[in-house]
Amino acid sequence: MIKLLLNILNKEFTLVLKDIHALLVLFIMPMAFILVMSLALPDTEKNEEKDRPKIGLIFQQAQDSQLAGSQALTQLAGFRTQKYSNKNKLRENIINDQLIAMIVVPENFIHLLQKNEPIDNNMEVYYSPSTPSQLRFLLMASVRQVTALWQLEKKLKSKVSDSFMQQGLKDKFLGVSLVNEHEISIGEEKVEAKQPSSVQQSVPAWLIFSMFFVVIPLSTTFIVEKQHGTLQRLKTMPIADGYFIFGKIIPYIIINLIQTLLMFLVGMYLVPAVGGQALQLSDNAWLLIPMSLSISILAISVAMLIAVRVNTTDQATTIGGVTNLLLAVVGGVMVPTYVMPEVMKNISAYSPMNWGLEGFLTILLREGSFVDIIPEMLKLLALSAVCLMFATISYKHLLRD
Amino acid sequence: MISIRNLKFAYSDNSVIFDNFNLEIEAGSLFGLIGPNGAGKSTLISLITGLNSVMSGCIKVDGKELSSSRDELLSQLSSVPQEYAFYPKLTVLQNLNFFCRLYKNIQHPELNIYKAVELTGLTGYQHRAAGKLSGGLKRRLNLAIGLLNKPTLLILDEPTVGIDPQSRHFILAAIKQLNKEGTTILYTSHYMEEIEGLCDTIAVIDHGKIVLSGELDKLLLSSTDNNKFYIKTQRSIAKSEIAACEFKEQLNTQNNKIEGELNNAEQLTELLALLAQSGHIIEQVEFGKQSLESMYFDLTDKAVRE
Repeated sequence: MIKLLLNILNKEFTLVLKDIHALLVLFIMPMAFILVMSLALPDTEKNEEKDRPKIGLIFQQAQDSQLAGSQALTQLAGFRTQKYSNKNKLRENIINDQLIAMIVVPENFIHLLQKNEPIDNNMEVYYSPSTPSQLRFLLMASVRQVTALWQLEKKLKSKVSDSFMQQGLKDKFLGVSLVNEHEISIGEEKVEAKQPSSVQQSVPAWLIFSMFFVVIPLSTTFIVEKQHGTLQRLKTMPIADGYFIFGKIIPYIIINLIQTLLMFLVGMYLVPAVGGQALQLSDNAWLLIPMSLSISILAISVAMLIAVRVNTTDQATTIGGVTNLLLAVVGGVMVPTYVMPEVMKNISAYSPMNWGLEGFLTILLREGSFVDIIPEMLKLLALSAVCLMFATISYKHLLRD
Repeated sequence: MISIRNLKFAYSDNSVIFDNFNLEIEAGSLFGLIGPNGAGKSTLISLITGLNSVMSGCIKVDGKELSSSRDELLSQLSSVPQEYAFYPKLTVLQNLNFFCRLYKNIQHPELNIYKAVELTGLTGYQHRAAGKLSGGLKRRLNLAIGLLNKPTLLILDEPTVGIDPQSRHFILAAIKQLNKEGTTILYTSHYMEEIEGLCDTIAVIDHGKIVLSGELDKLLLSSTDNNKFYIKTQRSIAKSEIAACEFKEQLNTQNNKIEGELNNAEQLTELLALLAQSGHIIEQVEFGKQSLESMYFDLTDKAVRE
């Protein structure tokens, strides 16, 4: 059985390797897109106010926002701030408004501070889980700078109190004890607070796009088999149909995995070599393998279904190409979902390419775990099962009528 | 070898192809299956090779029912489709290797490949891309792939379409050789001369029914048109060369062949003498024996089919 399968795999690999045009589509096209888009996107995004990380600000006592000192909080360097009236929907606000954090100023906080009276509650900072540690550090540094300034201003106006001295000049001065930090939970919803960088967007997006292009070599081989009577010959041999279907899937899974490896290497080494930002991988990089496998299985299943149903390579190229383009346009490959209007974002959620892209971004951007990518993988594999089932049924009935 | 009993088959659009169809093909025979396009030949082959399933009735090969012993029977038979059923981008050897290794029961694939290459005269072409072979070599590769499992039953669907006379001659000789070695051959072709020169038994099929079957020689001799004649000469016959013939209206001349219907054997003697006077060398004479082609047209009518 193994020998038989190896024989079929050997034939499929030999045919694919002889198909230069297909290899160009599968490897050169995404490489070119990644390079061009990774270099092109940062220029349009640089230094724009709207692209600064956004934070939320809640004054639990409304009058506090009118105090002179509170202005400093609304103008934290390098951040955009948006005010909210209360913390009842703190988590939802962080997720929906794509905030990196929410600062909650307790009642009387500024007032007590300015009066140099003991503070009942500290300021709270709630982070989105996707906020990287560098940004958290920057935000805290800015907040502490503000609180330190408040205190310094007060101390200069009055004598240094005993209580201030007892609690330690350094801590008080830096305002460490005035702020508590928290991280909100993801729960079952996705947090999309952070936008991907150009290279983080381009590499997975164009990789997925190119993975779906296996439809061209796969259907070409299959249609040649149909048209030349080779399929008729194969079907009159004492071998189960499953061998041929399995024999077609495995080589393209390997090709898709090679594509994944190459495109990530392009993002990590080639893009920075030509002046772009390098793609960074963290400890969860191994998750790219199950995610790529899920995308690959779906891409091949869709390709198999198209290949079995159509009769000419022209039909396969047209139907396969148009399907891929539509899925890519809708799925956030060509236009990132974070720049799409709400309606398009909702439509995008139905594109399998978007499922794959979200899975990759969960790994690359949100430092997600295996559990976090399970929903995307399940959607991809479920659709694969449906496509493969229809493809197998069609294959069994081929040449019968 | 093949026994088809009470076969019924219809396509999914309910067009009935066979209804109560029966056919016997003896082991070791070289059986010609002929009929116009759409007569049911390809469907019959697809049923014998298991591509389609019978609705009722049974097909037995070597006494075993196809439906219950499909895999076993498929390893013993081989079907050579009319199309070039191989991978044009692979070399001759890669194609042979691939197809040969699909049979689980072949112990020494290299030996089978060597024999198939030898019989079909592909020696020296093993490393050429199959798609770049000439039409004749492609046909020979198509046949060679069909021989890889050393089949006891070989089904050939128009194996000489579109090739030069030399390649056709080579393939027909190889088929005769295979049959001599004991392989039962089911042969379909639209070339009546080929069938006449190759097959020992035939069946004419039309509209899903057998309209004639039996040993070819007996069928041709039993024809009622026993005054029909056929003469073949070495060079073309000019009409002026037979202008003196009193019954010239009964003669049909085409290149180096002349055929028609005579009133008696004396007229044939007269015609042969006339041709000899014109310096013709006679290659073949048949009298009282109908050609397969004319018999075929009588049975299936001359109207053009789809």
